[in-house]
Amino acid sequence: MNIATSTFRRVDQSALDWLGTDPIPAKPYHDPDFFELERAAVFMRSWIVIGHVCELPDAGSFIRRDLEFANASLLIVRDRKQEIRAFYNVCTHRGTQLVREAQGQRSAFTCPYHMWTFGTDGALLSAPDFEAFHVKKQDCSLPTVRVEVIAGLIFVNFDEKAEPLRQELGDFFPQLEATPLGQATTFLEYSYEIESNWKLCYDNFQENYHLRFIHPRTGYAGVGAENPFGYPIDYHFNGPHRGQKIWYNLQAPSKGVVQQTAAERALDILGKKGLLGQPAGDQYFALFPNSFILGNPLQNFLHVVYPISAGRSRGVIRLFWVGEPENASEAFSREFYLTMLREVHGEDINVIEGGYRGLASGALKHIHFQTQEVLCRHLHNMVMEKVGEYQRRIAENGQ
Amino acid sequence: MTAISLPIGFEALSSYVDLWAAQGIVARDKARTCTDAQERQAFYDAAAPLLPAALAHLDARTKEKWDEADQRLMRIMLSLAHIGFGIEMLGQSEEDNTPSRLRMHLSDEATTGAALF
Repeated sequence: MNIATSTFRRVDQSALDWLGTDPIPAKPYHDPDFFELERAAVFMRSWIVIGHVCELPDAGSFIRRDLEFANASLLIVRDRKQEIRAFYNVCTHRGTQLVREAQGQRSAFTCPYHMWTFGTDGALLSAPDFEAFHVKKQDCSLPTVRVEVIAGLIFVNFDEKAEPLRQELGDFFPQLEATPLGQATTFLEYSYEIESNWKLCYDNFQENYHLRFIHPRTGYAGVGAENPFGYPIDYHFNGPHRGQKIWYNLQAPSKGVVQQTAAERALDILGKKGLLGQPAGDQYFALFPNSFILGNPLQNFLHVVYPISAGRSRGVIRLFWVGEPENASEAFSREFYLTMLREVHGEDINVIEGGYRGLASGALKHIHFQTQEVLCRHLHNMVMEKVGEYQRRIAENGQ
Repeated sequence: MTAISLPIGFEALSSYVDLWAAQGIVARDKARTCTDAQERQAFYDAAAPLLPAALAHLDARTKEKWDEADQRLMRIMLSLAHIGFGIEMLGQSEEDNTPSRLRMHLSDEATTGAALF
């Protein structure tokens, strides 16, 4: 190791004391009753990523998203005025789901049951023999869900009183807007279902302590002699959100011609597109409650962990790019980096499920987070805070 | 058997076209999964040394001007992205990793709107 070039300093506990050091109760990581509380206190009251604007390129473009935690199907539409709107995917006549396709483009949405037809703005346009009903058309628009777009990502919130996301994100807002995500026009995707509580799954992806043990080969460039665990350079916190500045081992040798070619070609192309050297290029954002965004343009990905039940979750990972591949080199590097990212995420699955099985047995009353697992501790603190607020509201107002 | 056409200079890869010139990322991942270590190593040994030349050949023209032989060459190189990753970065862990990798279900390009090669 060349001491003179060593730049890594692990974040000291003293900077993180405000988050506490106590053991963490294990029950919230497996208990079905706690999950019900979280569902109401966290997921039904937070901004949840459900798509990207590149999925809605034209007026009438739509995507359908089924969210188990809300027991709801949503219809996200770009309307005729180019505004993005979110509706419950239900006909206001008798509740039938309007759209079965996952995505598409329509000028209007017609219920298959009695042909009630809604515009892209959610207004009821027509309904057969409507005069026989005892209601006005303007009172039959599709029920809406709040929607915001940040860095090209579409967020929804079921809480009408929630603080606007842009405001809630604070300093993270301009940083996210500075990632290539906002300019992205295309993506590749993979997803997984996992037998685990969502927090246990999510926590795996916000600590690097496991890196050298679970990813000894695929994560080799994330560790080095001066930073054997691959810990981040810095942590940052913004309200319920958090993030880390990633440390890379710039001395890590190439593993072969395929890896080296992919890296060289990708850096060359990203440089020509002006996507290198961005302020958020080494930032890894963990947006409360359940999404991650990596600012690195080589692997500018979104990872969302959707809870299904106390012991089951679904992860969706999308690797975004700006524009179609301009040439063979760009197509090659994109395929290589997707392959790499997918492999790394796959390597985590078994240990996450093993952790859930252990906790769900009820054997432990507490688990432990060390200094460098502080982002997990912060998530726990935020969840407990939201659940506590919710329980107080229920006790005081009944809602 | 008639040799399947590839651009001049890449004839040595003709015997790999059937398996490795698969269209779409899902099909290429499937080719990786359904082959054994020996088949993957033979493909890597033949294709990896030609990677820089293949990309140079294909980059010389826009993809709209690629003929069928060029398209096959592109797909072979995209398969090499999968196989090369496995050989260079996973080594003998490839087999151990496969079940977990397959739990990461790839969406095909038709559903994400990404360019199909």
